[in-house]
Amino acid sequence: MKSKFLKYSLLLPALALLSNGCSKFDDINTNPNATTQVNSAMLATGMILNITRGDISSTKSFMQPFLLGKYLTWGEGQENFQYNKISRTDFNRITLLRNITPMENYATSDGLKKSYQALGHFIRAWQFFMTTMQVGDIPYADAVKGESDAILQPKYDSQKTVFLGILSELDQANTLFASGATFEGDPIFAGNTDKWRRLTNSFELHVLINLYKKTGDADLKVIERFKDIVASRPLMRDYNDNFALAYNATAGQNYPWSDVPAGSGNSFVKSNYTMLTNVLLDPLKASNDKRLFYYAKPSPVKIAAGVSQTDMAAYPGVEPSDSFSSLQTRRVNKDYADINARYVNLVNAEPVGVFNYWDLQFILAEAAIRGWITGTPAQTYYANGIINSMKFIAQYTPDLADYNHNMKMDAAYIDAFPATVALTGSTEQQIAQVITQKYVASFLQGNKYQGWFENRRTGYPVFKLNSTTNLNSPSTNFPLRWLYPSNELSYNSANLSAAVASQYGGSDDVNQAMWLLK
Amino acid sequence: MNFSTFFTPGLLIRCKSTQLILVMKLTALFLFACLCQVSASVYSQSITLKQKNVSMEVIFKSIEKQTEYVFLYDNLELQNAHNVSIDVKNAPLEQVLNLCFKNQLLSYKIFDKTIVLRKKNELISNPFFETISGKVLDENGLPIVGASIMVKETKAVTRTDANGYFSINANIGTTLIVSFIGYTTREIVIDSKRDYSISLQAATTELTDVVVTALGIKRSEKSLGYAVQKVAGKELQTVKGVDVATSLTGRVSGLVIKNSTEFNARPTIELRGESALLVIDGVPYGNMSLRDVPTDDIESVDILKGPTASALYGSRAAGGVMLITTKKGASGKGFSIDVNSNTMASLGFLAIPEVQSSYGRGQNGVIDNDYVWGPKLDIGKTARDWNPVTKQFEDNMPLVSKGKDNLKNFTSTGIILNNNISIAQTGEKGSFRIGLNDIYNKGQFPNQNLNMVNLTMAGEMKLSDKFKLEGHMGVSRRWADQIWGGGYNNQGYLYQLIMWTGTEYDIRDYKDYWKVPYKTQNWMYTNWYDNPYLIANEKLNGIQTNTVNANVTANYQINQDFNLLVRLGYDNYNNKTTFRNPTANIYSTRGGAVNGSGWNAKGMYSIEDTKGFSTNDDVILSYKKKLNKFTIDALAGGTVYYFIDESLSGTTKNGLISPTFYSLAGSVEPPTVSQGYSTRQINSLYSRASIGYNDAIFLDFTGRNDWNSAQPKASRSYFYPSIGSSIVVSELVKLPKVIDMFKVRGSWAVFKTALGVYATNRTFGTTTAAWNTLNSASYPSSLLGNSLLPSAQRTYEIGAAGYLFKKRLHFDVAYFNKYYYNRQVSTSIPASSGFSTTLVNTKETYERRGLEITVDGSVIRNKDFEWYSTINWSNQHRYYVNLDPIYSPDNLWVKKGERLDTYTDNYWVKDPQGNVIHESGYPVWSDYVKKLGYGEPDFSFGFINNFTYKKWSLGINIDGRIGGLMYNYVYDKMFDSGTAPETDNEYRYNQVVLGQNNYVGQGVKVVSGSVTYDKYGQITSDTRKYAVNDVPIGYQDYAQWYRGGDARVQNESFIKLREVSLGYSLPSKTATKLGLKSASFSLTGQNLFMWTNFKYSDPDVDTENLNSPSMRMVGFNLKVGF
Repeated sequence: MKSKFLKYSLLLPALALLSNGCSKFDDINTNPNATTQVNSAMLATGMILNITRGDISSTKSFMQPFLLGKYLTWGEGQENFQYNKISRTDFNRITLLRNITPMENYATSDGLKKSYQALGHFIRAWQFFMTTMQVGDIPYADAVKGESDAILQPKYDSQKTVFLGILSELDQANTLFASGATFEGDPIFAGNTDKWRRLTNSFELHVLINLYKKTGDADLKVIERFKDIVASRPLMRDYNDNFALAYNATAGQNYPWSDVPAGSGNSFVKSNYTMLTNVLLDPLKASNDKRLFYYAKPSPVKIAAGVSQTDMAAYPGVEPSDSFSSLQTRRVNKDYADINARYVNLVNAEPVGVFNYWDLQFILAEAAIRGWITGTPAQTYYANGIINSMKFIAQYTPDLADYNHNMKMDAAYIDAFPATVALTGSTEQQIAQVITQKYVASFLQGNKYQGWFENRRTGYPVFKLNSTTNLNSPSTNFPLRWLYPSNELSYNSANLSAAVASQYGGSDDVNQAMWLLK
Repeated sequence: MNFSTFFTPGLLIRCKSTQLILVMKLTALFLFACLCQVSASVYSQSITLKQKNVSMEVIFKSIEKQTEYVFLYDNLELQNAHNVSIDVKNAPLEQVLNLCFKNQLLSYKIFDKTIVLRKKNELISNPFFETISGKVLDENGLPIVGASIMVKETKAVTRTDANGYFSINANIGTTLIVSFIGYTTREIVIDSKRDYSISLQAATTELTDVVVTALGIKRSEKSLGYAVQKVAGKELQTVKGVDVATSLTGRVSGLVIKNSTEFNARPTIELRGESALLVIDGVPYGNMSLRDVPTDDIESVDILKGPTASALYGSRAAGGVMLITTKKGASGKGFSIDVNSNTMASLGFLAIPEVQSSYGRGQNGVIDNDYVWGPKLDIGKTARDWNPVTKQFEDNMPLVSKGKDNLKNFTSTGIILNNNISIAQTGEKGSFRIGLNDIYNKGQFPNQNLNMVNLTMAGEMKLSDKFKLEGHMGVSRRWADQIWGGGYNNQGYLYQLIMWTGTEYDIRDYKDYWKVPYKTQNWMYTNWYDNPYLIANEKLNGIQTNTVNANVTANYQINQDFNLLVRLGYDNYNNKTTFRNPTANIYSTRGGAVNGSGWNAKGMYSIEDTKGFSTNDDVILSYKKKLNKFTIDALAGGTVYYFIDESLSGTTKNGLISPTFYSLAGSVEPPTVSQGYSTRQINSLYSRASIGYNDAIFLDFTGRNDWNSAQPKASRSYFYPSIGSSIVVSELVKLPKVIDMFKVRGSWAVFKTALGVYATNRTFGTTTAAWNTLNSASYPSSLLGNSLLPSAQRTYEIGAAGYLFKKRLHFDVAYFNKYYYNRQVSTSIPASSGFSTTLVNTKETYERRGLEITVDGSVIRNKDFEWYSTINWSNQHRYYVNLDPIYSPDNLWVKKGERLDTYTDNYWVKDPQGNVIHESGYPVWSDYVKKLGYGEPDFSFGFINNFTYKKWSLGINIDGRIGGLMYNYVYDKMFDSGTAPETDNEYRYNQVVLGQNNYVGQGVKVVSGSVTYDKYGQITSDTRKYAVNDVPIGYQDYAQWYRGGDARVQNESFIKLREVSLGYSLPSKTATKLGLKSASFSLTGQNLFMWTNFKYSDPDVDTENLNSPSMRMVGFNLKVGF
């Protein structure tokens, strides 16, 4: 009897094991609160929000590119970008692209498959473009193949190869969108493939204008491509086609600068850290551009001294390269122009476009000036850009003195304005005018670092080089690029080293010019 | 029965190392097989003995084991006895004894149950006895029941009665030998006195000799092949803080306790650099912490450091085990009530930040809504400022530094009340104990009140000679309405009071924190910072935890050799965390409320309910046998461990519909809800075999096989073995006389740890209503490698231990080497691959190597006075062994042989002479990182001292950790905010008062040339020429940029006077008069003094995040026994 008891007691754990067989273990280890099944629309939403909103989800991250672009200054503490100190970037834009294959695979019809493939190509082109603009050569052909081809250390491609790839993917997106079906999951254009196609082609022109030093390249065929797109493909028609996210009152969907209701969470806004610069305000003042009254808030010191809010003299700009202490003294003494109250008070001060209709028009104007396209005069594109910028602002600004300072832009003013700043002079002078207008129209708009990239490309508007405050090393010039990500240094060292050797003589240095700029 | 019948040594010896694992796997089978062969012998008063040529002592021990008789003899007399051979079966005692004493110079006499030896022919002459009476007491003055008293010369024997009294016939000049198990035997020479009070000291070496090992098995320390250190519960029961872990600091070498200064923060416990498994009465509960065990319930804490030590607990014990044995009854027989009360209050600080009080809030010398770089104070100036009485901004408010002590003034005396009452009864057939513990902790900041109540019940029943049942149950409940207020990013009290507000206001004027209730604060800031009293009373983070644990252990002694144990363990928790703030103008809105949403000026309520249970059930069959010189000790068993954790949380979205509607029903938009569920099951079979030879050589094998639900099917079942040995050299070799015992030991073990729960699930991240009605999803950014094996760790350990100078001095040295290989790592991969991480078994391996030394003993010991001292010293570091060609990062410090805890950071760029290079007046901060040192301490130590003088006792515990770098957040950031005392200098004065922006940083600037770097940031070419820096900039900008120079990283070494207690116990006579069994009173103190160069903050917790001031706690302890 005793041994029986023993036998059974020893069997207990064995029984416990049997009763918990493998299938039960699989059940145990399946997370009930996460899914393995989604759909194309959800993946599309995630990616589109990421490229339109991801960079600007907080006040401070929204502001950073505009510091580098010299639109404004920031008084919380000395910011590197304001003083041209650029360090390392990351390649997180590339990791987003892993969502594209599953998005395409989940498509439920041929038409949807084409649309999602087209969207995939557009997003790839967009992300690779933004990344290569920062550093130069990047992984392209081998990129995003960690799962499909088990490539964990992608090789770098030359910047030219990357651009060829971007152009080709945009061409494919154009074709696919043309025959794709209206798709779900799109917070911008509600899945309208026509609008996406127009964006794709307009953006391709942006890519091509950045290649203006490479017009002699037989592979790129820059001008040929540009001409063909303008001639044969649909482009954006007005600011309603802007690649822009409209904000609203729902929690987490407020305009990044808004503080609603006043006195709530946005301490950055309440701190009055921002001062608008003369780089932004001087061109507005020089041309009597009323957008100034929509962008800025007058200096309380000037108002107290009796200057009218309708007088541009009430909006003193600061020089962003002045020493931080002198700027701080200026700030605490309150004699400066802050950003307009509408950006702070309205949940949707305006949709923030990362590629806008006026960008397209200024690109076309530039191309016309450079002689790439003919037919329509540059002035027409140029005027279109300015008019749409103004109309857009007027459309989104409630008619309140606090927001337009009684200097309202009506239709007549808007229509008449471009002629007052008409293109004139040499090619170079005209390009300066176009880029300056692009700069002005892109206040709190445009893709990340757009103002700085345009300045790097064209030199306009001119940023003051103050070698006593410039934090770039050496302080006698502006930096030209970001350093490669530390994540690549650590885990993709050999490939990165080869890219740095072939481009920059082995030294990953912010002062070196990438292929695109040569 | 022959040893080889059931455990074939030949097989073990024959097999190659590759076969060893197989052999171990088969151990359980062997044990099972032998069960069927053994016919159980029946326990009785008759004796069965089969011994060949063994010492008398061995015979005596066998007889003691088989009967209720005890031998009493003088060792010297036995030395001359011959060895005997004997073979009897079920023989009566007398027959056996007669056989043994044949041809011996000794004879024996039986008194009651005691067998007394004496020389043959020795006459019990002298019939003129005196009657001597007396009482035998323990060191606490309590009577010892059943102590043996023998007259050395006459061999007359008696025992003490239930009150500890005895009487015996003896002559003047004869010697009484007084002995009792567990106590040091004393000899008393009879003088003219007729009444003696004899107190016995607990044999301390006896206490450390027997330790509790894995699965709750008590074993002799000398038989172990690994390091074990024991702390007796009573050592922890005088100075009682909130957490018993704090009292463990420094007491065990290799055990590092990191104590936090934050309210309601638990100490972090690290054993050999890893977290240890907490096992209470043999049960490795899934949800219990040391906090759930009242200090007064603890009988002992055994720290099992070695690999073989915890092998039987499996992967959960990969970092070692902390074994708690709780009290099951009264210490003596009978009924007892014990009360232990400790009260402590704060008295000053060991570390508290200092601030400058010369300049008020503001920027560039002007009063403002941010920073503390404002106007000079105390020079007769005024400004428009807030008036806390009229609650509005007013002109001409004087700028004076009335808030120099704002932080101290905001704090109040912290209090810890730790009270315990226990009732226990011990009888013939069992014992029972009920303990009730209450801890009240008032924190140093307003509204910090923590209550902890613990009820425990434990007992054991002897149902028969063979069957024993034990049970333990604990219920614990803790609650606090407000635990918020720490840290930088959470915008706690120091963030408001030290970092971002000046001294131009007095915090005490702001206790009335509302201007308009639930609308506007009485506060001078309109941004970023809140009135700290508002935080304390309105931004509430409440907690409530409930834990229940229970276990039942059934022990069935099948026969002399076999024992079956069945143990069921279960615990269950149900916790609630809430966050709430009203709709009002609150400004410090950051903080980790559930879902990371932070506080909300529109109002917020968040609740998270978590619940779960774990169960751990064992069946263990063990076998013990002594055969000739061999002892066999083996077991086989199985465990099922299973847990479920669940959470449900909800947070209001976009504010509350009315200011204090603290409910999810009060949410403006539909509340955010999230749910969590996590579960795992581990089934295990294991066995152990220990063989002892001649009490001198011991060998241990264990093997364990797990089936783990979180592993992929192919690698779900995995086996890991261990082997250990101890050799008591002093039993084998004649050592110098000063050495009482000396042993060397060694062990080797492999551990395998499975993947995390759901680690192999590749699921999409999803967001409901990511934008309006659109839901979003993202593909997992982590990749999953193929055939993921469990992580493995191989440890070997060698050590030595010994007792010297008649057990006055004890030492223990251990060296261990733990090799981590086959590690499952979610390793970073280049973002350009499209993914961020991949879960693989990396080829990167590393070793953890450490040395632990414990030396303890009586430094001074005489009749009334003893100084007992323990020194613990330990270190451990991790070193890379192999690198993975793909997954190891390419840098200068991930290298073979380099330590893993390298402290790296960017740095100030310097010229070859070491001068800081300036660019536009600012020091240049490198784009590259480099190694600055190491993050972990070189070593840690404890110095534990107990002084006793008659009824007085003094305990002094000192501990510390030496070496290691740590980022000093508070010190570094104060240069930015402007509160750092170092910034109160002439340059700041010149800037603020004289308006000069002409500070010139000490260093150089580049005048020509350039520099290039390789990918590691090493200079590859350098043509730079330098000149002395002469670019003037504003002092504020410079200080905010350069901070404390290199000092943002500081050495975190510290030495602490951790605990002091000075106690007096009432003599038992006095106690008896008061109707008490015992009583003692002590002055107690915890966290008393600290020596460190780390600025403004207590580095004990090993991280700096605006740590709350470190309070010194002093008080008193009262223990009464009825």
